[in-house]
Amino acid sequence: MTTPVLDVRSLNTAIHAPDGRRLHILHDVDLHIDAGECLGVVGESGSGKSVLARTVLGVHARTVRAESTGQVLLNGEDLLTAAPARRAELLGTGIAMVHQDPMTSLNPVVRIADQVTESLTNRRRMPRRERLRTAAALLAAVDVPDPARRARGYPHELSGGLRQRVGIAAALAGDPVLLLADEPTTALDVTVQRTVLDLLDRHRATRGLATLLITHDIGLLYGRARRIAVMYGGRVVETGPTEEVTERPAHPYTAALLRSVPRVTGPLRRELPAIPGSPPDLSRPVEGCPFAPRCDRAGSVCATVAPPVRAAGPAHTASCHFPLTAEAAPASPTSLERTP
Amino acid sequence: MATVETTAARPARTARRRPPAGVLAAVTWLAVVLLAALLLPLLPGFDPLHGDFSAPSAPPGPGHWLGTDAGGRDVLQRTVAGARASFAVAGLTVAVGLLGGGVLGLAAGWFRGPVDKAIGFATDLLMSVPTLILVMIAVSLRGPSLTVIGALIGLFTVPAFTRVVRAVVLALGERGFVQAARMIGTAPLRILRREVVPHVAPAALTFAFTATTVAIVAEGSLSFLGFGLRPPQPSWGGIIAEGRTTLGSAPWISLAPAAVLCLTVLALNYLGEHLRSPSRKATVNR
Amino acid sequence: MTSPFLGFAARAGRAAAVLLLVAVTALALPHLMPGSPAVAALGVTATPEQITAFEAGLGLDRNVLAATFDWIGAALHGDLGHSLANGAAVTTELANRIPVTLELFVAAQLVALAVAVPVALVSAWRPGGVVDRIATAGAFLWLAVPGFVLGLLLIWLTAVQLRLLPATGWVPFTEDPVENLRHLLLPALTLGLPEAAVFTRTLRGQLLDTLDQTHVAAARSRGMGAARLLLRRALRPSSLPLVTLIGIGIGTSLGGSVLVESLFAVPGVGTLASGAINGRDFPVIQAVMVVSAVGVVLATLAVDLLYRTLDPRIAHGHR
Repeated sequence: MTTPVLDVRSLNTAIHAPDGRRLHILHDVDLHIDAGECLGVVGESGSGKSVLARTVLGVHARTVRAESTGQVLLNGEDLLTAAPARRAELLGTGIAMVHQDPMTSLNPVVRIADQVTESLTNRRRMPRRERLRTAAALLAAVDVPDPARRARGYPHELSGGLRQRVGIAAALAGDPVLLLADEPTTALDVTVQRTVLDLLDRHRATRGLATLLITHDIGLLYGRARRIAVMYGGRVVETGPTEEVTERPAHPYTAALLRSVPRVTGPLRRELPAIPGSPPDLSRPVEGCPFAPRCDRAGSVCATVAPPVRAAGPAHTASCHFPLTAEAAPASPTSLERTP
Repeated sequence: MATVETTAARPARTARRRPPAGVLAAVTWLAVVLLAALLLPLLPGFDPLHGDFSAPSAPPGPGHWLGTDAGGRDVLQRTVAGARASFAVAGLTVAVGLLGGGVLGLAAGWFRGPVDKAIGFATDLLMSVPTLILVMIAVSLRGPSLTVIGALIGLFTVPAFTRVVRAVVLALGERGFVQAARMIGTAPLRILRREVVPHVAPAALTFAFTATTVAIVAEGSLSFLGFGLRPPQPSWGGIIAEGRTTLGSAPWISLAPAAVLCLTVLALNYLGEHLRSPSRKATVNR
Repeated sequence: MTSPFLGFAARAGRAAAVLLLVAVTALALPHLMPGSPAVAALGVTATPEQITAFEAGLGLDRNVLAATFDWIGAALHGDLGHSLANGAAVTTELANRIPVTLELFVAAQLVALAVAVPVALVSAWRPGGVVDRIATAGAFLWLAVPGFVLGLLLIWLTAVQLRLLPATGWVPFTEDPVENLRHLLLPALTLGLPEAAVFTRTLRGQLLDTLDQTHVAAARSRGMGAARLLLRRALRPSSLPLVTLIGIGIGTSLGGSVLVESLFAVPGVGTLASGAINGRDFPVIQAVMVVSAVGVVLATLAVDLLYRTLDPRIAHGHR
């Protein structure tokens, strides 16, 4: 067995908000990504997927304080116990991040070349000519036309799609081993989304980049992520190979997510079902299964006992008392035994 | 995650609480100064012009709490008398500023377009001239009367009042109920009286606190330069200026009234800031 | 403003109108004086010929507009008239004093920035932290101290109590640079420190906005440290309101320098103005008013140009 590039073991993260509340956001998160592999992390907003990325990166919002227990291993090195200097050194060069909104994630008054080369110039001085040359090469690698001229320019001269390419170039500049992409295409036009995802795919394959692709849109992951981790209420509720999870979901939440995705094949629905209710309030501790209040399969045990991780297929696990094992996704819940 | 990423620390919302200590202190201080200015001169022994020649330049002590000046006059009594002059100027300033800024701001926000542009140009013009110099010229040509000084400082607060009022009127227009009132045929004056003025008044009155401090400081500066109210009616600035020559031997002559002036400005600023703060705004703008 | 040229033309037109209005007001001043300026200046023994010559010199024999245009015409040839007090050419007088006031103004801005920029940076990086709370409260207290009180306090403290610095007077830089700086320090502090409070508040607020933006989080995710981030990434987009404040400051600085210059006996435009006003020296008053208005116009232009270099989006008309 080779060591995975990223190995997260029973990670718990709590955040102290500026207003003094302590929010326990991540609960016993386990996941790993091998070199050249793409793991898709899917969940609603508030599921903790962005906090997961920030915790792995080690950079939280400026005014919050985060506390984590467990392990975040990057090539076997535990980042949670690493010295601050070591963590700072890894930013951009070990782990890099692609941000959600390219319109706001680039500084409007700083030349593109200076932003793209940031993770290199933070550590050593780089003459202006070299910055421009390096930036142009990086921009060319992400298919930005006329890269030498663009490097000299400013972000407002570019379209949203091109800006996101600049963002990717900036992430790749330090030659990282792990790329965290937090909803990289959500802010883009549908037509541009595909080319940006293809670009990420290409660099993952050619550079052997471990990629964590965060999205709320499970449909985006077909054919791109080899494995999927479904997050709900700060927990990984189901994980497994993409085809396994999407074709034979074990967790009712995954099934509900899949039902809310429009499909090209299969019967045409007039209306996509939304999941009733809203994600749990993170400032309160949850007993039992966090999805129970919204789950149409929940029994009385779900409100009191946290569901254990169970095997649901080859390399496929789910945390549910009443998994939809071996059934088709839109299974009828009444056909199952409901009382413990 | 939006709640987690909120950065600016929000002030804790505690509705319907007692006013904070700072507000109480500020109100108390202003009340003491104003009441002293109004009532103390009515007392029989009050005479800021009387010189106690047995004790010239006496340091603060039991007989004279803030000491005496070079002419043996009681600094506390002179400071109280100075408050009358300073507040008289400030009152006139605020009246002129409120009236002028109120009318111009309402007109600019109500009519918009060319009227707004013209008023904007006029206020910009007024803001680009050196205020102090013009008041000095006026005082030199017309004499240092309370009316000239108060009215002119007031004139120079008109642009700021105009901006405050205009902003509120424009914001009201965006909220639609003024248009709604217009559309159902309510007479403009009635809309102004019933809808606009009640919303404009709190913002304008809040700014009046700032204008009061501007007037007190501006009048003080004028007096300091010898262009303010003349003795025997000295303002705070005048008293402070008188003591500057004896700063080495009797610093209290200047510094005691200066401290009173600073504390008053601080109290006014604090109240103005408190009224403007977001936690209060929610109740003011409702 | 759709076309940059139209925008420029509109601004230039506005500036010209402001200057003209100021000039007309300045030339109208002698008319506002009760009684006869000529008699006031020459005394009751003046002959009618002397009075006529005096009134012609001030343009009192023509209507104000005609006098204004004559004045502007002469001014464009470098002739601002002669002082009534000592007969000296106003142009020479101004040429001697403008550099002093400018030096004082620049020094005061440097003082204000030297205090405000570091304090605002540290405050904004940790809002609600110790530095921030002290700075916010301190700036608030500081704002309650008027310039003339601050000047008195500084004189009392450094010149009277500690005998460190000269309380008043001036030595030109060309004569003795060290003495010049010693004489400059107190006036510059008096003028600059109150501004520091305003600068700090403004810059802190703007920095908080900037630091909340995603591009700051992005730079941090690429490993940029706090110091570099603040100085290289956040300061520049946050400095626009500060530039505006300094620009406005040039407009109002003449008033402030009158006060500070007379307090410290600095021979600048401010003391020239207050002396002229005291002595009803109209040619000097008129020249000072118009020159300071020209200063305001130039400052506005400079602010505009600085905006363009600070924010590339403005230069491209994206904002």
